[in-house]
Amino acid sequence: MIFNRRLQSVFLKEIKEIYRDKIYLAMALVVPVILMILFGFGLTMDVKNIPTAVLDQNRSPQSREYVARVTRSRYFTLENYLTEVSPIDQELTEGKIRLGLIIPPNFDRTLALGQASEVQALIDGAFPDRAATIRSYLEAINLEFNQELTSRWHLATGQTVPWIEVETRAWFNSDLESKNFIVPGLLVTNLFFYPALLASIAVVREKESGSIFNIYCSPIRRWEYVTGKLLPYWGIGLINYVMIYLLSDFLFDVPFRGSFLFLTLAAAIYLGASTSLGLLMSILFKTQVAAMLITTVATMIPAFIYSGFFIAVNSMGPEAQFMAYILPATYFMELVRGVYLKGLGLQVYWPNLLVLLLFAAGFLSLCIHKLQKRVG
Amino acid sequence: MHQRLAALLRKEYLQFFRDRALIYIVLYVFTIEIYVAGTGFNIEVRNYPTAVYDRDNTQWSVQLAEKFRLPYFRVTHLVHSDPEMEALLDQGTVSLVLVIPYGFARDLAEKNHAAVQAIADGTLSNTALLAMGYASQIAQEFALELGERLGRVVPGTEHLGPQVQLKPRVAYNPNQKAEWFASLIELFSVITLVAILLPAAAMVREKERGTIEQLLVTPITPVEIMLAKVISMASIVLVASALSLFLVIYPIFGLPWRGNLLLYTVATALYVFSATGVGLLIATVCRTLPQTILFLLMVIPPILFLSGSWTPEEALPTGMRMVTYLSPLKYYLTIAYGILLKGAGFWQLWQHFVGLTVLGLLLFGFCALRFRRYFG
Amino acid sequence: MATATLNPASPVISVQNLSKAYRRQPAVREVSFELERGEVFGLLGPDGAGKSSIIQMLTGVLTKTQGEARVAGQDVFADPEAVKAHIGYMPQGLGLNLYDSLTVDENIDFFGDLREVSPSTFERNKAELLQITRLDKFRERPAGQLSGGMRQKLALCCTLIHLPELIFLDEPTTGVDPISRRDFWMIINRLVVEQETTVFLTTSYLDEAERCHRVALLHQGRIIAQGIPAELMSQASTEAQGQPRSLEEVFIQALEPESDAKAAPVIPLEELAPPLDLEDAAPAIRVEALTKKFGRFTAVDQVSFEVKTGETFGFLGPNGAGKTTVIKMLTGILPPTGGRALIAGLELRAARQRIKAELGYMSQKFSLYGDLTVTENLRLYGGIYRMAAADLERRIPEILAMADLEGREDQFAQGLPLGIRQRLALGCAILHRPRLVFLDEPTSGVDPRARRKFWQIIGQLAASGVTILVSTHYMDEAQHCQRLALMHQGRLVAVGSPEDLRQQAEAATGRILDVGSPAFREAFLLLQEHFPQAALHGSRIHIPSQQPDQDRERIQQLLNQARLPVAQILDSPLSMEDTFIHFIQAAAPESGNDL
Repeated sequence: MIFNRRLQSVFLKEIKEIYRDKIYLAMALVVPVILMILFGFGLTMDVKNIPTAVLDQNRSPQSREYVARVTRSRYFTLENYLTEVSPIDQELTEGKIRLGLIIPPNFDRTLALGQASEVQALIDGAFPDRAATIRSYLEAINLEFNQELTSRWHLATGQTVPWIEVETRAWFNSDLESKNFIVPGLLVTNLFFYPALLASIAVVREKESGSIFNIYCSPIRRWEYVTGKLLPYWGIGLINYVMIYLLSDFLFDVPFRGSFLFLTLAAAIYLGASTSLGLLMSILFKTQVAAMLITTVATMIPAFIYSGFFIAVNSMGPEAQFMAYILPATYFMELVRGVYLKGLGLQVYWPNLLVLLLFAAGFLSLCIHKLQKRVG
Repeated sequence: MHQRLAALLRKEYLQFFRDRALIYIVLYVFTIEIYVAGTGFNIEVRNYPTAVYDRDNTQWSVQLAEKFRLPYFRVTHLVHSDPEMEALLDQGTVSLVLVIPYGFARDLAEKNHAAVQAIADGTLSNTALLAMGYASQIAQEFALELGERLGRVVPGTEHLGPQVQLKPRVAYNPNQKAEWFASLIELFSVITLVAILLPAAAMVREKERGTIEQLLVTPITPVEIMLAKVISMASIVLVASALSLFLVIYPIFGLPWRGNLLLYTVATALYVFSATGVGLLIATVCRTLPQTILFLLMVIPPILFLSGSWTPEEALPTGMRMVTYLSPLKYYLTIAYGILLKGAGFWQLWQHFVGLTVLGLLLFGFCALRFRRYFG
Repeated sequence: MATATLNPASPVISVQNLSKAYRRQPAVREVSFELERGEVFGLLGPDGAGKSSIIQMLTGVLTKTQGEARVAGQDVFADPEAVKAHIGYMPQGLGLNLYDSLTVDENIDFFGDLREVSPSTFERNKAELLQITRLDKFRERPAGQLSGGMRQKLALCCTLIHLPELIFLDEPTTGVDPISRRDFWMIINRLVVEQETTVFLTTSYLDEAERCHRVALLHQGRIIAQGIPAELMSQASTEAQGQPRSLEEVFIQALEPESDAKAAPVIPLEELAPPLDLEDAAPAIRVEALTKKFGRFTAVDQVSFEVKTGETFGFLGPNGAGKTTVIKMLTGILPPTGGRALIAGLELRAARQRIKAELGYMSQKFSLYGDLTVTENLRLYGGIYRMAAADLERRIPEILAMADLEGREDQFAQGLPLGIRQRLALGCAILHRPRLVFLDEPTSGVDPRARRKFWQIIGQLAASGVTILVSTHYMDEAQHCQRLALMHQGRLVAVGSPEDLRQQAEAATGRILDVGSPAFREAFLLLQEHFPQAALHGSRIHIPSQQPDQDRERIQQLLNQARLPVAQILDSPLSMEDTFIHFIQAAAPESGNDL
């Protein structure tokens, strides 16, 4: 089944070399799994178990009820229940707690009079996004508490105050667990920078060793060499993809609602883009170090920051949105999360597929164009 | 000992200051990079793309929908059917749909109580949570406003009935300025990166070029070689981090002057020493620069991610939480935040100082041991 | 071998005023030459002379700056791809174009596929090439586990698999062991004789020039002399007084007019090294059964020798013979696996710090700090050896004068020409007045003039009582050493003075009859039938002989019968390379076969 002998010889040679370099092979197959496990467990955006100290100056059943509402939720963990005036500020400074609640001495009496009582919440503002989340949790709990208070009071006094209840529902990720978007997101970022990094030494290694001259001085065509070189790394990328997919399913238990076949098709095209990007770097640079460093910087950081991994692209600033749109990872990110969490497929994401195809074709033709069978 | 160390130190500084490209890179990451990260990072809910599905279509429902506005929500679509809503959420065109059911105004008028739904795209769970919290607050404010207009509630809180008024105070960063957080996090990450990378690269370069052999034939001891690298690189990182504090973070982002800068310098020196220890340790294992880069790629992200900078450590599974004690950045982060943001003194942070010192000594001792065995 | 269809275009290579500059830095300056079909043309010159640039331009992988070149009838710059089907190219370095993890078989297959050689031709060529290189026993062995010489032969097989009509070889024999080198030339000569293949090769060994039909000497991008080796040498010898005829002399004389360093002033080095304490009458170096293993590979195998105080001791052998490993063990960089080494009677491991202060070491590759200047490098080592400030101020000018570095004090080490860099490295190694100096291939790749200067400095050092252990892969440098150790595959095959060794070898194998004939191809084929050991050296035939007088008459007779003209038959002594081959074969009769 030789359809092109020269292409096939480059392809087979590359596979043999990769297969026999056990360290490289191990790096190629194991590192993505390790990264996935490390990041999958270690990267969580959930704000939960927030260490909390309470200074209850009231010590009434009602104040304890209020505290219980807060600390019973999975978001807060009671570290310290204080009844005396205490160094709550100091604990915050030392980083032992992230939230301090201060309940005034006349908490229950004020409420019984039908008046408003103030509860102070001291939030550690060192991490602003976490502070905002803590605040929003607290307010939700507080609202619920007030709602009950009010309705009881309404019953007792016959007063009427309008009340609008907001029933919140989160589609696609009903428990609002961050791993459900982090893990599919990692599939996208890891399949962007790692295959690119692996491919980034493919050609430049031959330049450093001198074996590139075999290619320069032979009648092989540029497209044959580029394609033969690319295919093995693309294959490794596919293996990585399958392993990450399996991890997401069995280890992280992320819901998968779409079609595996469709996801695989999209991943194959996406890997075509990321591998040829790495190969392009390998063709452009003269040393392995330069090729690897530039590839890492050009793929890893943008993949995490601009692809919509943490922040939705549509709430980014214009410069960041521009970066997002020139990044293949952005298009795949949308698709992957859609397939995983929304169960969507080709009918929605065919434009993404098309864009990815264009990226892959573009990088590949750049590779062929930039590979000169010449030194320097 | 002094004369030999002095000769080596002079060599290290000469080599560093001869490398123009390296100086520019270090200057860049410690100034511009920190400025960019400080201004560009924003995880808050802004311009949240929203659709309104108003099935009631009354004066009140329209008024409620109008309350959903910038800066938090950007209403881009008015939908009129369930499939339309589903399509918008599926395709990720909007991230939140406010559903006002039929009979909303009637319920409010008659029963004083009505419910609306906020359906969020839960894919990015953390922002979805914040958005849902804002939606509840807006609805509540609207209800109060309505009560006042209808004369059921007299302005002022006394007549609202009993209620807990939450007074959140975000400590240390009352306006929740993301720049402080982001620029400091970036500074700590950059310190980590440079303090590990510089000595590792300098050492591996000597191995690659063979100059290390030349040194080993002289009466120099391996520990002297190591000390020369550590002292020179650590001092460079210290000066660079001072530059970024006094040129970028204090003047541009207006970080308040709190805490003892001398204490901060001591902590940074401690941290930088242990980080250079990590770098040199890697250099004893790796033979070439590409290997070093791959190794760093596996070592640096966990140090960053497991420090509590990106993910709250409370939210990690217990096993992962134990692992965070191995990241020197964890201790340094608490200390540096404590001093710079919270104005903490030594006695409030002494445990973290002990942790950092112990870990640093362990790393350093292990590194010295490896050096002696490897080069001795 | 299959007969390749030859392009009758002649000349096969024609180069006119070819120049190449990298970022305005000229590398090749207006070179012109032509090659006829079936010719072996050698381009001789040190590292950085521009040899590789020329070869790369002719093979279509490097652009020109100016000039013209036609290869196999094609303009190589207009249509490089058209040239590539006709040629074979072996780049520099010991088999660096091979794929280490691929086996011998797989490497050859890859090149066959790349060239799309038809299966029947491929099988025939492959079998034959493997057989004459004696690689057929190692077909399953990965290329990375072959010795340097075997790698180079495999690289040659790969280059020749499509039997190109024109082959380009960039430093094919540098650092290769003498037996592989002999095999190598045998293959080349066979192709030339049987196929009329044209060979263009570069080399930095001037003694290899005799094996070429014609040579050009290249220096700083310019051809400084061109012609038939014997003629060039005879021209030179008329001018030289008392110097032996050699291409080295030709090279140096050709350079003289344009260089001011006619006779570099010899600066006497007083107090270079205080005489050794005579109380320790122990030899400077004593090595007993020293062994080093890396995993399963034995790099140094039971090596024992002694170096007397004040002696210049040479380590001669190809790349990978174990020279560097021995030196690294003697300097304490590598711990030995077995055996022991005594430096000035002291156990190395026990008295390491004491010995280190007495040692000077110059490692194989240029290992000074390239981003430091000449003086900064010297001062660094002054500080490391804790030299007193006043002493250092006195010593530095002395070293600068000795190494001819005056006026270059503030230049960066990496910008210095190779020969001068090596002198700086030597300067750093002897700055602290060591009594014992290790020099690991100090002259590798250095041009003949700089090499001569370097050996002058070594001579001065030796005269002042310093013990010197120097390694080299240049056979012709053996003459500079008082005693020699010949190393091959991790073992010492002989130790002795150069003359002793040569005479021992001659007693066993005889002298060489050097036959010159205008019809050397036919003469060679004929003589080979009667003298199986006959070998081509360029256009001359070398025949080892135990009875030179009888054999000379027999040769004359044979050639006369065949009506082949005879120019001359000379009786010449064994070369150092032949001497080396003798000792390798004497040490292990089998080894000639598994190289």
